[in-house]
Parts: sequence; structure tokens; C-alpha cells
Amino acid sequence: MNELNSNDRGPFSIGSEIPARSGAGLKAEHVEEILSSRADIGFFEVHAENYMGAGGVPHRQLGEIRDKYPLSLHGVGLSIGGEDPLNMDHLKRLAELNRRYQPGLFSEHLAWSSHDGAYLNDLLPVPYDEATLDRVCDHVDLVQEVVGRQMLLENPSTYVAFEQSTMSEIDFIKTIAERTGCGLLLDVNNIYVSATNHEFSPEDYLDAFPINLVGEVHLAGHAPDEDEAGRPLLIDAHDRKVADVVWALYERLIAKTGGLPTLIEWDDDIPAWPILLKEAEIAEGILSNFQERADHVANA
Amino acid sequence: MSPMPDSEYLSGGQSGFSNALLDPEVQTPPGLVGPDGLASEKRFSVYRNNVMASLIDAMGANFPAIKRLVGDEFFVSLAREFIVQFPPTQPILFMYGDEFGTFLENFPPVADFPYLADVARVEYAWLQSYHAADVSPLEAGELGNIAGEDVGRAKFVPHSSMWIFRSIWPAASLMDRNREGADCSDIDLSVGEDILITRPVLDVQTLILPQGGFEFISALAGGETLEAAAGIAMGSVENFDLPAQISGMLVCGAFCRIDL
Ligand SMILES: [Fe+2]
Repeated sequence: MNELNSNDRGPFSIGSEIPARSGAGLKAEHVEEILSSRADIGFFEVHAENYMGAGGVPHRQLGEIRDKYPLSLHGVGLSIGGEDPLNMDHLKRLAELNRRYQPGLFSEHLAWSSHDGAYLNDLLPVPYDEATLDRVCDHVDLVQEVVGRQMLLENPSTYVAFEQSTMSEIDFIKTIAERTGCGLLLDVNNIYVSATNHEFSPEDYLDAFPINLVGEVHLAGHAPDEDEAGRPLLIDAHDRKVADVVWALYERLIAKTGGLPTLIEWDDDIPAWPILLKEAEIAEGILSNFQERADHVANA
Repeated sequence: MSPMPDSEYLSGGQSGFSNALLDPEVQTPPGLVGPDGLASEKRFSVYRNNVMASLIDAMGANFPAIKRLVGDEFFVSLAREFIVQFPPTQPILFMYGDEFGTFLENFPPVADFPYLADVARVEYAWLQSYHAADVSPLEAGELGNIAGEDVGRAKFVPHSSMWIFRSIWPAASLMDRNREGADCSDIDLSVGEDILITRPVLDVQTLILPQGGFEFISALAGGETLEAAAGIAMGSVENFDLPAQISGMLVCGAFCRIDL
């Protein structure tokens, strides 16, 4: 590295940790404005699969972002819940991206997306039973071994439940974390979507969740629909602002956990950068409110 | 052929699920329920829609010129059929669609638009070039550094981003115009194009080669020496302008290194 480059680096150079602030999912069309406006935001998160080419514009942009901001790497295609063995080529690419960018956090989903050689490009649900639990734990072990670091596993949004499930989603996730040592990514919108779709209380879910294992929070917008019986069916669309009910759940979470890195996901109908930044600022406001209260209590 | 063994059928949870995702004729897999404990077609169809809509979007992002050429509505049905026949085989979506050209060539509803296949091939190559490894292209001066008697046996190593293709259609012009959203009614469909794609730094270039350029650059990329490649090109066209072709090939960044 030449001197000029190292002088150019901001305080958040490679490998820096993610602060307990809010961040945004990085979109290529926002990069120029983010850099030119020196956006004040805690971190950026990228979908790993978008940076699995060898070079060109995507890596140039990611390098520039990483030089100025903490970076979190979020895989969307590993199929950890898959019945098939993990795709080792893909896992090695994830390891290589971790090596190249040394993100502060690395996460993947409790879901499957590949089967029998086909990649289906959606986060598909798994039954919560012993056989699936064993398989997911083996996969998480393998990921952490090959990538050489702890991963965070994200709770899913689901639209159907499995008759064959023998345990709750929370027991399932908690056991994976206990057995593998992985951390958890708590997606608060996913809680609300699943709670609505399966008619359970999102507050109860949040209160029962092993929040001491949570290393990051996701927030996103969802789209309303209904099933054939007219019951509400929420879709995890990531195509709009975070719903008020989800903000309320988030406040409930932060009141318990204190500050946590919090990401706004907006992946479809992507808005202009200031609108996305505004969502991140709302989260930042909630984080600092609780921080101030905590400081106040500590100083009292 | 023996019938599928029972055990495979019973344990095939994700097989049944994934088959039903891509084929709406296949029944919703058993054992998936809503909050009332009953099966729900509508709930399962959220997954069906997510899979199909997201892959159609991915195809539209990868093949914007094809999308404009056939129109948004027809593109959806085209992409849907392609996705069912050739689902992605890995999770990197910018690498999806390698077979789209071959698919279009053999898909009866577009038989009257035979140029689409080559436009799809050029779009796919463009995308791979966009993501290719960052390598410094050969600089024009480097050939001059080689001693005169060695020049003829110089071999040129292709740049990571280069792709060369001969189309009987004006496939590069059709791609460029449609990507720009420009009118293409004046493009003469009877004129083929020799197409070179390169990406010396960050911007992908689509070049239409002059006569003999395809033979010359293909021969070099295939490992022929400069002398042999020039011979092949001169044999294929009259008045092959070697100095102009060499400088053209160097300027566009088609090669990254000279091996002697
Ligand atoms: Fe999420």
C-alpha cells in the first residue's frame, strides 16, 4: 500500500467493528452520493453475492465504501437450511470475501434456497424438527470453520408452517446458537411478518428471544396481503419504509438490549438515498434516546 | 425404468417443495399449513411468486436490450419459460442466463426474430466483462520495446475482460441502441458484425471490428504468434492494414501481456 492511500483512509478502515449505530443496505446507485455527501451513518451492509465477480465497478465501489465506513457482509444464497450439502464453491467465495474486506459482521439466513442443483433465489422455510436441527448445526459449523470466524444467523419471515415441526422457532434458533457458537441476527420486521402470518404475539416472541446472543438487528418494510380465508398475510418485501408497529417492537427490543448495530434493508423499489438515510436516522434516534437514558441512570 | 422408491418420495421434502415452486401444475406440497392448521394454496404461492418474480427481475437486469426488443410483457413470458427450463445453477445472479442465447434460438414463439439469440449472447458477454478481473491492459509502447527480430514471434495474452464474436446479425448495434433506449429502425439487419468486448479499466466497450480484425484478434487470442496471426488475417481479406489493426487492438485493451 502506498502512503497516499493510507493517508486517505478514514477512521473506519478494513476490519473495523460495527458500532451500535444504524446502517443501510448498500445499493450501487447510492454510492456516489454517499461518498460525495460524506453521509453520516454508522455502517453499510452488502449482499455478498453481488460482489462475487472478480473485479470491475462493484469491487471499486465496495473498496471506497469500506475505506470510509464499517462494513457488514450478509450472505443471501448459501442455503444453510438445505437438505443438500453446502455448495463448497460458494462457501469458499464467502470466505474469500471475508478475507478481502474483513467485514465487522458476517451473517446468513435460517433458510434454504438451493436444491438438486437449482438455485431458487428465495429464502425458503425449514421445519423445526430434530433432523433439520442437526443438519443446520452441521452446516453452521462448516461455515464457521471454512470462513474462520463467527457468523450471525438470521430469523426468517415465513408464510407457511410445517406440520412436522416439533419445536418452536425460538427453541430451534437458540439450540443452533448453543451448539455451534454462532451469534444471531434479529430481524424485527421478520418477527412481525411471521407473527402476523402464524397468529402469535410478536411481543412474546421478542421477550422469549435469546437477546444476549444478538449481534445485529434488521429493520425493513413489509407488504400487506391476505390468504384465501381473508386472514392477513404479510410479505417480507423490503420495498418501503419500516412500519410503525415494527418501530414499536424495535423500541421494545432496544429498551432491553441497549445499543445494537441496526440495519435498514430496502431492496426493491429502491428510493433516493436521502429517504433511506432518513430511515436510518429514525433508528439512530431510538438508539441514542436509550443511550441517553442509560447514561442518565449510570450518572444518577 | 423402475418407479421411484417410497423412501425417496417420503423424505423428499425440499424436492417436492422446489418442484412445486417452478411448476404451478404441481400440487402444493403436503404438510404446509396456515395458522388454522389447514393447507393454504395462497400462502405457498407467496414462495412461488417470490421465486419467479425475482428471477424474472434478474433476467431483465441481465438482458435489458432483449427486454426492450421484445417488450416488457412478452419478456416476462419469455423469461418465465427460460427459468423453468434453465433454473439458475448457483447463487450469483449476474452469471445467470448463459444459455439464454441458445434458448432463444430454439424457442418457436421468437422464430421470426432470429437475431435475438446473438443479442442475448452479446449482453451476457458484456455482463461477464463488467465483472471480470481487474488487469492492466497492454500499453501501446510495450510492443515497441521488443527487438525487431523478435516481434514476429510475439504472442499476446488475452485480457480477462475480452470476448470476440462473429454474428451474422448486427447484434452489437442492436444491443447498444436498445440499451440506450434509442431508435433502431435504421439498423440494416442484413449486415453482420464482428464484435469485440473489452473492459480496459471500469467501462465495458463494445466494438465492431474492421474487416480482418476478427481473424487477426481471434488468431492472437488462440495463441498464434503475431506473424502467424497477421498471415491468417491477410489471407482472409484483401488490403489487411496490419499497423492499423495492431494499434487498434492495443488501444482497445484486448490483450494484457506479450509473451516471447
Ligand atoms: Fe433481514
